[in-house]
Amino acid sequence: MLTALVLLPVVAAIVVMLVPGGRREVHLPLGIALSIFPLALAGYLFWVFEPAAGFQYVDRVTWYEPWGIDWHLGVDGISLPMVVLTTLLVPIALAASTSIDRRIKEFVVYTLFLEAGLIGAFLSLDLFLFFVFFEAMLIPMYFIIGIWGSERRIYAAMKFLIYTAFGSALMLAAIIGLALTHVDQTGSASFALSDLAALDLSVGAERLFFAAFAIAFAIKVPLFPFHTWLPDAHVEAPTAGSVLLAAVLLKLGTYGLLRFNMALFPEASVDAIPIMAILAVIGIIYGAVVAIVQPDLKKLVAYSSVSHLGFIVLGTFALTSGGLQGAVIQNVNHGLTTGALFLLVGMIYDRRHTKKIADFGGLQKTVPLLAGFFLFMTFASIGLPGLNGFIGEFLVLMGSFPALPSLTVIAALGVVLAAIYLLWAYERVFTGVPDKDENKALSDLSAREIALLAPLAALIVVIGIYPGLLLDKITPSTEAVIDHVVEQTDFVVPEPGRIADVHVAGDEG
Amino acid sequence: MVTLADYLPIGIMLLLAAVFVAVSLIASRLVRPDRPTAAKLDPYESGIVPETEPVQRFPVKFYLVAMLFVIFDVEIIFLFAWASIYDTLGWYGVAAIFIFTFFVAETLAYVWKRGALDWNVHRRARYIPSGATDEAA
Amino acid sequence: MITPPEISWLAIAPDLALTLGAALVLLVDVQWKPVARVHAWVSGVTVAVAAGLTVAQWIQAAPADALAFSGLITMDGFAIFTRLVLIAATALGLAAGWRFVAGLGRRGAEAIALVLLATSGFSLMVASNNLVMMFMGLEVGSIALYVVAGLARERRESEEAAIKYFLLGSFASAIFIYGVALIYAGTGQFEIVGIRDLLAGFVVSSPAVIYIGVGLVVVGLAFKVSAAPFHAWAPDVYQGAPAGLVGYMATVAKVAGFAAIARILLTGVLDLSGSWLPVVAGISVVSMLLGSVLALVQGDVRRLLAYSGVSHAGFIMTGVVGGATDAVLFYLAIYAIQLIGAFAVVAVVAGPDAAGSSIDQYRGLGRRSPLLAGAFTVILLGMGGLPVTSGFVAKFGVFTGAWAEGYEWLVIVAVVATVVALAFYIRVIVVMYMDEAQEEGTLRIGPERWVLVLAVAATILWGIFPASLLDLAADALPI
Repeated sequence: MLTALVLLPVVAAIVVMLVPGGRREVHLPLGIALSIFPLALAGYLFWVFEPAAGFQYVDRVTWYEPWGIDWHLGVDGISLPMVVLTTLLVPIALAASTSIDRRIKEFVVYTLFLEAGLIGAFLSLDLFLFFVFFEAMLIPMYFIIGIWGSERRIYAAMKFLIYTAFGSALMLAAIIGLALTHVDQTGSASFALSDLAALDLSVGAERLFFAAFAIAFAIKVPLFPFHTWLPDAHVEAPTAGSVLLAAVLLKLGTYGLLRFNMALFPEASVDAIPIMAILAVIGIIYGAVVAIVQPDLKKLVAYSSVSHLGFIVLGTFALTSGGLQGAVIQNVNHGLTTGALFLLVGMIYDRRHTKKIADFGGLQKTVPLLAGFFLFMTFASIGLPGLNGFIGEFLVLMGSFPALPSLTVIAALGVVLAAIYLLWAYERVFTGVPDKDENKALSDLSAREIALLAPLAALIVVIGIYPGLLLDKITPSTEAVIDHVVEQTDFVVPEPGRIADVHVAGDEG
Repeated sequence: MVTLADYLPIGIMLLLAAVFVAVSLIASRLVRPDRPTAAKLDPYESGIVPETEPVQRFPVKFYLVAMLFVIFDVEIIFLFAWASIYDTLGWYGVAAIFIFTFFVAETLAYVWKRGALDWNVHRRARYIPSGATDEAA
Repeated sequence: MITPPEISWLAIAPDLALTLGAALVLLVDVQWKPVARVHAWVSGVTVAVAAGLTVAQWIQAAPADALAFSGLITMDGFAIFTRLVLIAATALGLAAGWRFVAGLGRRGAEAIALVLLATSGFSLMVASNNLVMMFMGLEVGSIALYVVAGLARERRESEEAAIKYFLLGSFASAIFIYGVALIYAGTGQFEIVGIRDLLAGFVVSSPAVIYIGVGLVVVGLAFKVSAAPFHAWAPDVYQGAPAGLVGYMATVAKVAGFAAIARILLTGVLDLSGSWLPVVAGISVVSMLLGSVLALVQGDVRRLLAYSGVSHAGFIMTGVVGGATDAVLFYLAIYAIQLIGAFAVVAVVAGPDAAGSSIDQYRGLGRRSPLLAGAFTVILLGMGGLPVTSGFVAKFGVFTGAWAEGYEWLVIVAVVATVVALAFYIRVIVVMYMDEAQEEGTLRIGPERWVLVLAVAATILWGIFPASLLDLAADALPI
């Protein structure tokens, strides 16, 4: 089933490719229609997924025996939400791309290939395979930014590519090193995550490998000193590109830290907690502060991503039940809300052909529906109780506090700053009197645009009210990560860091 | 095992050659009368006094002939070696030398057909390529 | 008493077939002055026969008769695999350069004959177990290539390319043969297997002579494969030589050169690896970095491909350092196809008059000729070593070998160089897709079409299912 999930978008892309280039009106609807299939399959997967610790629906076929490389897919509670999110956002991103007026066929094809790469990366249980997907998706994304972006698109696309490729190059070296260590220790080659996680690494080697993986993922996240490619890429990318970039592509970084660094290098991960947590907190505050002063609406949302993803990394490296749950659920939340925010910015841009905050004002009067959705997403993003952002940020902060109290307090400031930059931006764009003529004659959201935003809004509310829907599926897997770390190292989860602690407290009460 | 002693005949041959040259030159120097005159020192004895330096360039076709000659010269070397032991080599030797000779003969046939042996350059001119027009002809 | 050598016609049959084919092309040409199509048939049949004979070698080959002609020639899997690559490169190279060849008129037959002769020379070189035999093959191949470089003599760059290639190439050959002489002085052996056995059995009294000899041999061959710092000729020659045939020239020289390097170092003097490994690793690092960085600033696609070839030489050297002949062979096969494909695109873009290859001519190619640009993109990404292409599998193989040998730092330098290399391949893609076209009109694609189809198929299919070729390469062991 998972193989089908990876291959469906590839098949869809090939089908779209086969449609003659002249039939311009066919490509986009066809692409959207075909991208529903992976979504349906992913939805079914979510439905039948049993909350349990191990990997499920494992597909394993030998790819090249002497090198020990397999086509090895599997899903667990950490990857499941990401796969569903990916398949959900691709049709939405495609449907939001009606304003693309040239080379629409290529656009659809690249987007579908990107989807295949993303799903493959989330499902891979073989490091070689993961690397292939991780790296291969750069090219479609590169083209999406480079062809359909705005003025400085080539610069932005190149920067995106070089940063990410550099990080993954080091990771490739580390993967080779790991596999050869496996040859040394067992006599046979293997790239399987479970085999490599069982290796007995020296402290020095483990730290070096950890660093190589961590840098690759930190660039992707992006964590504080590696973030400079992100604003450029976001600002230049077309709406669909921004949505997929923010909502899914960046999650590969946080997902990778959680899936690979924790599993492969538990000792080094524990040692690196202070560094990673400090970088995360710097990212939270720095991203928020920079976002406040952005004159460009899209750039503002981009920097808010830097800040929000800091929370996810902080939660991950708190290594407590709440922290990890929060990290995974915040992965989803950020995908939904920031994806929606980028969609909204794109819709505003389609109407006004500017993203400068100063060019707007009083849009509430002319486009009330758009303003309403924007405000809703803003609330979700700053963590208003009842919406999904609250659940994620609360879990992260609650989970991190026992482990890293002082940093958590600083990080909590980021929540306040988020309220400042987002609400202030809302105020400048939407409230007041529409004093500019261009802003007076804007059309409000069309039915199509509402149809795009509504599912995201609905999910935001559902997760906000009933987080158990996700948490039940996530928790066994996140607990397994902590168990693995505790087993492999002498790390002690600070109390009350485990779910068990909370439950016991509840029983006593 | 080949030892240095096996090369002795070659050494003697070289020595003899050197001695022969030296002896002839020295002997002629000693025996001949030495009476130079202006006429004898002229480049040509035909009586025409050269007015300019001789032209240093001469037609490239001499090179061509020289190169073709060298090819056949080298062929002879191989044929000698083969002929001296053709019995031992048997049919393999015959086949090998046949292949070798074929390529030399083929080369000759090719250059001949291309007009390399025509002394008159104008006849060869028709082989000089003139691009695609040649193709159409 | 001279004993006739044991005879194995099969061992040299492909080379013989190629040489006979070359002769046939020339004779047919002077006798009947046929149209170009006839030459295409004759050369095509020749290449097919040579390939068939090579396959027959593969089926026949057994360790017992690996050596033939008193140890001059071997018929090991390594030789057969490399020979197949060379023959494939010949077929693709002729197809890619066909329009140029046909445009030469009566000289076209000579071009074909030279190409076939070059292949037979290099084919002997990769199959030779004897250093002098290797030199013979090297010279037969190289001299033919010098002439090929100057075939487009209407262009001054072509003459420049030919003379530069000839002077530097002869210089390199001289260095090589001097190294062979010193190895002979140190070991009393020309045979590579003999040198191996000698080094394994004895403590050599004067190793310095052997060291210098091996060093000179490596330098000579490094010239041929355009590894830095011996690469200076490559950009000028790639720029000047006829567009369609450059890919072929670069490929066969590189394939044969690396096969020889691998054979001498990994079979002959493996016992001295402690001494040559650092040197080869050094050449590898310099090639990768210099090639990648200089390629970044090229404004001409041919020069760019030349410098990229320098960096590829460095990458293949990492495979030699790792001692993994199968990884090296896989890399060579993949790179050969991609390089010829890339130059086929260059030939199409340059047009019939082969005027230049400035990167400006590629602006907007994605709009003008979508299929051509698409093929070039796949090939460039494959050369860059992006996953899902065979180039990635190839790089992965050589890097793994080097890491296993304890050269972790080399692998780290190599992956960084890969990223730099990716940047300049991407630069060409950017120009093709993201800039506006300067010229209008679609380009006419001739027989290059088939080369491109094969190159793209090889890049993608062997990227996703590499096992077939990897297994072949793994079976192709040297004696």
